[in-house]
Parts: sequence; C-alpha cells; structure tokens
Amino acid sequence: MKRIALRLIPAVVLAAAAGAPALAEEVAETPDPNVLRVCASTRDAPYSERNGQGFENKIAAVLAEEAGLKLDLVMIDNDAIYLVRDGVDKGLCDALIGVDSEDPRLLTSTPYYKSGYAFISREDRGFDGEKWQDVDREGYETFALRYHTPAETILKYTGRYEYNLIYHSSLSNFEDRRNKYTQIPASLVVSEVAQGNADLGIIFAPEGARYVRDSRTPLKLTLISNDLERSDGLIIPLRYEQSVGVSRARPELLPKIEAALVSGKARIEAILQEEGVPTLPLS
Amino acid sequence: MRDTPRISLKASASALAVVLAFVAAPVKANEALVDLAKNTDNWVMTGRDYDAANYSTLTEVNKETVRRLRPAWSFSTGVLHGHEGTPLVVNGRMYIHSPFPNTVFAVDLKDPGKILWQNKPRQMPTARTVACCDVVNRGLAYWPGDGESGALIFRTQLDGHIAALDADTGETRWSMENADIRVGATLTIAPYVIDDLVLVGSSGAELGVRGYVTAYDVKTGEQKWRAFATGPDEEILLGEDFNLANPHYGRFGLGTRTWEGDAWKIGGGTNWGWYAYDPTEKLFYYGSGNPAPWNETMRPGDNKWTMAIWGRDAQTGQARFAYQKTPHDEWDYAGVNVMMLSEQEDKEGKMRKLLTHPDRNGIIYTLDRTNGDLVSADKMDDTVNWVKEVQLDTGLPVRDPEFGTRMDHMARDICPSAMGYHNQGHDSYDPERKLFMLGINHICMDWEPFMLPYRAGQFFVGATLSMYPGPKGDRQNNLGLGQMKAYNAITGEMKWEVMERFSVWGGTMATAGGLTFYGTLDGFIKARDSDTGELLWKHKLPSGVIGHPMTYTHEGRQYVAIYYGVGGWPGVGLVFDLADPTAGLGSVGAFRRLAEYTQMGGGVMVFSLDGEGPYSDPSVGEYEVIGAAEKL
Repeated sequence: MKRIALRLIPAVVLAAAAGAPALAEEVAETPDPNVLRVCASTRDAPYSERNGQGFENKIAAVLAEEAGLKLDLVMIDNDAIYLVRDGVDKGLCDALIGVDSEDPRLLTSTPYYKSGYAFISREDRGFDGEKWQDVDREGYETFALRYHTPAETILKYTGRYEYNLIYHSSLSNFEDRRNKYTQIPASLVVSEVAQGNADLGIIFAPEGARYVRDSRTPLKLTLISNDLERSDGLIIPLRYEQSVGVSRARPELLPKIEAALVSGKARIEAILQEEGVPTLPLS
Repeated sequence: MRDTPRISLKASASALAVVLAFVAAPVKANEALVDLAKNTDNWVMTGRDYDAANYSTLTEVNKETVRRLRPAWSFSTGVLHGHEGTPLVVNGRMYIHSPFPNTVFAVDLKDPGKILWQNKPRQMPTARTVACCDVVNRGLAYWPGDGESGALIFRTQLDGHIAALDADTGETRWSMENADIRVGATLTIAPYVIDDLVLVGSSGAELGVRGYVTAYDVKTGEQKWRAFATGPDEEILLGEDFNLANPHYGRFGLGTRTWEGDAWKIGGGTNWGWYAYDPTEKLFYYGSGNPAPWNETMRPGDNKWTMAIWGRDAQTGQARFAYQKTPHDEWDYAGVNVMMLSEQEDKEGKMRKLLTHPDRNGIIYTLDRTNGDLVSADKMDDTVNWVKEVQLDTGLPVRDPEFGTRMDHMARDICPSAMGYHNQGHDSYDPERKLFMLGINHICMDWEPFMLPYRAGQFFVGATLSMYPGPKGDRQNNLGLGQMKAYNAITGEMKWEVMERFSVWGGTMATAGGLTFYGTLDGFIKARDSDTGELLWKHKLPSGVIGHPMTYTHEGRQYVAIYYGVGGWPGVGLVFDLADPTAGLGSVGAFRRLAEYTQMGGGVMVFSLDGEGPYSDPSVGEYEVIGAAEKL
C-alpha cells in the first residue's frame, strides 16, 4: 500500500501569493521530517498530470518508498515552469522530480538519466537526419515544436522560424502570447507529425516518447547528436542530464534522495523504459 | 498567408445607378465626401470630416440650452460588448455598427423605429478567441457613389474581412479577406474612404502579425497597394523623397536593419486606430502600433517602423514621412492613436498645416503634416515619467532609466501604464478656441520582469504588471483613473483640466456651441463648457461608454448621439469576468471597481433639446389598420 497524499493548490491562490509574500508564509507549513513533499504540475503531461498521473509522479512514489518517507504530492494547478517560484520558493514543497542537473535555484542530485532533443518523423518518410542542421531538407517545411524550447532556436538558425510562426500559433489556438506563458501540448507535437500536418517534430525526447510509443502511425524518434552554437558563441546544449531538485531550505533531504536513487535505480529505469524514453550514457 | 484573396462579387446593375449617370457628372468621391461633411445633416466618417477633428459648427445645443438635452430615441444593437466609434449619418439615414458579430443596421431618421436593413456577416467563430482585447469594432465608412455605382457602406469584420454593402439595400456587394484569421490577424479598425479607395489597417501584433495598411478599389475590392510597417523598403513603400525634410528620423533600409536577423517578419506594427486625410497634400495620416513580440528583450534594435506617425500618398501608398515616437518600445505604448488636423500659426507666427497626435506614451505630438517636421511634443500630464523630454531637434525621447523595463529592475510607478495616457479615443479640435479636447487615462503601473528557467534549456521571460490610478488619483480607493483636458498645441498649455472617476476611453466631440461632449466608462454622457471645463450637463446611459459622441441635424433640429456598451481593454475584466488583478496586462486590477458602476449593454442613444424628435408626433410609426374606414 503506497502512502500518497495528494493536494491541489489552485492557480488563484498562487497568483495572490505572488503579489503578497506575507500570505505565502501563512500557506507554508513546518515540514514533517517523515514526509517528502514533491511539487508537480497539473498541466505537464507526460511528466505530470491532474490526479497525480505522469511518469515523474511514479518516480516520486518510488523515491519516497525507497527513502522510507510518506509522499505528499502537492499538485500546482499551473504550468510546470512556475513550480520553483510558486512551489519550492513559497515553501509549499521540498523537491521536484525532474530538473536540469545544473539548475542553480535548487540543490540537485546526481543525474539519474540523460536524454536530449529529438526529431520525430513518420517512418514512411524515411527521414535520416540526426544533426540539428538536418531540418533544412528538401520537402521539410512545417515543424511542430513546443514554445520556449531550443527547438525554436533550431528553426531560427535554419531560417524556418518565421515561416512556421503562424502554424505554431494555430497549435495553441492563437492564444494571446503577450506576457503570457503559452504552451503547445507535447501530445499535439507528436500527433501533428503522425497526421502529416507537420513534416517533423522537434521535442525534448522524454516529453514525446510516450506518444511516439502509442502512435498508430509508426513514428521514428531520433536523438539529435550535436549542440547548437549561437552567433554570439554561446553553446545551446541539446542534451540534458536530469536530476531531482531539492529546496535549498531542506539540505538534509538530499542524501536521502541520493540513497533512494541508488536503491531504486532499477525501478526508475523500468519506468523510463516503459515510457519509451531514449537515454544517453551518463557522463 | 493566403496568396489568392477570395473575392465574392455580386452583380449590381441597379436601375438607380443608370439614372444617376444621366443626372450627375462624375464627382471625385473625396470631393463629394468633403461636400457632404460640410452639411451638418451628415456625419460621414468617424471623425466627421477628413480633418478628423470631431468638431461641429452646430450651435442649437449650446452653453445655455444644453441643460434641456433629453433622449429623443434610442436603438439597441443586441450585442453586449464594447461599442467603439460613432454611427454615421448620411442623407437622412443612420448607419449603426456593432462589435462582433459586426452587424450593420440602417435606420431612417424620420422613423428610426423601423430597421431599413441589417447585414450580419457569417464569420469564423474563432475570431472571438483570437482578438486580444474584447471584440470591438471602431466604425464604418461611406462612399457616396458615382455615375456607375450607388453609394456603399464599408465594414470591417473581426475575422479579417472587409465588406462593401449597398447603402440602400444592405446587400453585400463584395467581401475581401484583408487578414487571415488563421494567422491570428483580426480587424477592428474603421475603414476609410479616399477617392475611390477604401483603406484598411490590421490588428494582431500581440500574435506576431506584421502590420500593414491596404487600399482596395471601392467598386471591385481589387487590392491597389499594401504598405507594411517593417521589412524591406519596397514593401514599406518608401517614396524617393522619404523623410527628405528630416533625414535624422532615418531614411532607407531601416525596416530590416533595426531588427535582429529576420525578426521584422514577425515584428508587429499593426494599425487599428484612426486615419486623417489632407486632400490638398494628397497625404493620409495614421500611427503604426507596437513591435512584437511583446517582450522587449526578444527584439533588440529600434524596431522601425513600428510606433511611427506616417504621412502616405493615398493613391500610391508611398510614404513621404515617418517619425518614430518610441524607438524600441518597452512598455506596449502602441501609437495608433488619432491624428487631428488643424491649420494654426506656430510660435513664430507662421501659418502651418499641422497634425496633432495624443500618443499612448503620454506625449502629445504636433507635426507639420506636409513634411513631418516636429513642431511640439508635450507631456499630456506632468506625471509622465518614462521620458524626461522629447528633443525637438533630434526627435528622440530622453528616457529615464528608472522607469524602463529592463530585466534586472523592478520598476515602480511607471507613468503612463501599458494602457497609455491616451488610447483609442477619438478626440476633437475646436478651431475657434484653438484647443484640443483630450480624454485621458490617468493610470500608472509597476513592472516586475521575471525570467523563469525550466528544464532542457527552456525558459520564459515575462513581467508581472499591476496598474492603478496615477499620482493625481485616489490610490487608496482605486478611483481617479481619468482626466479631461483642453490643450493648446502652440503654447503647450492646458487651458483647463478635470479629474474623472475612470478613464475617458472613447474620445470627445467639440461644437461651436462652446461645448465638449464625451462618454465615461461608468455610463454617463457629459457636456462641459469648452472655455472653462465646467460640467453643464450629463445623462446616465444604460451601460458604460468607449465610443465618441457625434452630432447632426435632421429637419432643422440638432441631435447628439453616442454609443453605449462597456468593454474594450478597460472592460475585459468586466466583460470576461476575470478576477486575477494582473490579467488583461493589469487592466483587470486597474478597473476592478468598474463593475460597481455599470454592466454590459449595447446601443445608440440620441438626444435633442427637450427630447423633441421623430416621435414628438405620436402618430409617427404607428400601426395603420388597413381597411379600418370600411369597418366603421
């Protein structure tokens, strides 16, 4: 019997808390040393969904069990990009299951897997590109992607961005993007490729893997093998190591997480494998 | 974007047109419009005439008589959303427009109780979701007809279409796709007729639409030219003499060079405000709006020619001048505001043809409209703080970095807010008093930029905006969000100014009766003494106002009309029932008390002295029993 408590924090409360730090402190509780409080988003499929579904929430359950802690899954009713600001920093939770290993805002565990941006194509198209420059191919015009990702940079650097802007807006129902975090669902990026609306999808592989696996139209997922160097010399990595992030206010949790990652290694790998996430060797 | 625009043309060989051909020698449409506008029986365009001065010579309603102003009749459009602009009155008929679904109605002023015709277009319902700030429409345009073709009414639709309607029957003559709703481009601007062309702007900069103005043949809908705000010179349509008089404004190649890479392709600069026209110079004037994307860190450079005042040749679209008011906008000060034309002596006593433009950025600019020379640039209120001054010799604003929106800086009390000290309101110019009657927003804001990283190289840059009354308002109670002012563009002085509870969003109308009329968001139409600002009369309307008043005579009697129907950007919280104070870019918080004063509505209210009008004779419009005499 898994010990999981699930709480939902509505976005309205968070918005109010953002404007008034005093209120946030009232919301925060004194942490119980026997509880692992994990923040997760209600709109971050396939990582996390409403009702605690999502493969990272499965990993959270494994970690809590391995660490002998009761899991308190704090569901934030907002996009995952707000989890640190509106969850961890507000003291609502102590850990996030998937963060970049170099995220400076949190204490991060030893990486437990590595993956990267990938091309998604229909198998019948026979696309064999594996470098980011390969989007620039004859007959490849329309690209599905998620906003705010290096996939946009790839299109900018191959001269395909402006041409696709309208198409991308259509994927988010032309929602007003002025000062608003707008996102295209990962499942839509994949289904657009499957239906032939997009010639290619460009997505962080863990976000697309499940939908590629489940697609009735056979799809191919290829990890991109090189990084992108911007004109100003800045390297935009296209492969990322993923860690568990722990609140800087709860450093005592980190060793427990590290131990749980070791003892639960096989179970976590099984979850990733079932999800279809292609992984790269950890350095 | 669609390559081949769809045209639907219905043959319209009306007998009337043939008859007309014999009687009238062809008169150029603009001459006919100028003549029609001279007759106070008409209000032929949203700004009354090509000067866009919203000034009427009528005096029946004046400082003495205005107290007797009462409703004569009213008309409901059946739409509960923001009603901007004015109805048109031509040849004894009133043409009334509505927000989405953009229905047009014609009524006879003799008996407005009967709708002569109505035309409701079929539109893609997605248009509603694409529009950023309520589903408004700013009005209609009238083309008087010629020997071949009868008069036309032009209407823009939220789904990006421009349609020509038969002014007599309401039948759709043609409809053109000016902007593709599937690319996020909408249309809210009032079309504008010059000669045999109808001009239309564009909306949707918030979605990355690259702005343009387009001219169509009034009779066929054929596109005559299209001029973009950004990109290569040949697409912006720059004339050979472009900015020759003011080379320091910048001349060629800047529509691409002032952007990083190809960012101009999604650079915004739409125009959804108002036009004015000088038939002698053959130039029309308008403002291009904000650059895209919204976040300034994403678009380094001056971002030309967004945020510019334009003077273009109406026949060719070629620009003679453009003056960029806010290079590299950081605040969303979309400068599409009204251009009011006047002829005045400048400080040196030289008579000049001027255009005056109260900009969203809080500065009111006056330019020589023949060549773009900057004559004056004054703060609309001394609380404007993002800019210390505008240098008249260079044209450049001297910014105060304290009130910038750079990433590492929490800016408090930036004035004006993103809504501007002046937004879409169509103001007026009283030539007798040499005063511009300005309806003003008095709203400031805090701007807290943030950068949120996420995994795998993803990040989001945004800002938390809070808006509240300016320093002269009542910040404790969140009221005092507007002002009325009378401005002299030559001396730079305000003749008078008064505070208002909410923004004066819709604009003003001045009359030779010494009155300035305007509507308020909380639902009053008011008349002030143009000399002193004294409030002489007001009337409570069914809903708040975001349109501007108009006036006309019918059978010798003066009427004053105004749309009611709250909405638009200040009304988004009320219209869409939003609670988060930072929603609507902060508008919801600023106008959170509006719902205590008004609710949604939509229609026209028409006033006259003592309410006298078509129904003073109660038998007008009565049901007539056919054959009644036989029954007796």
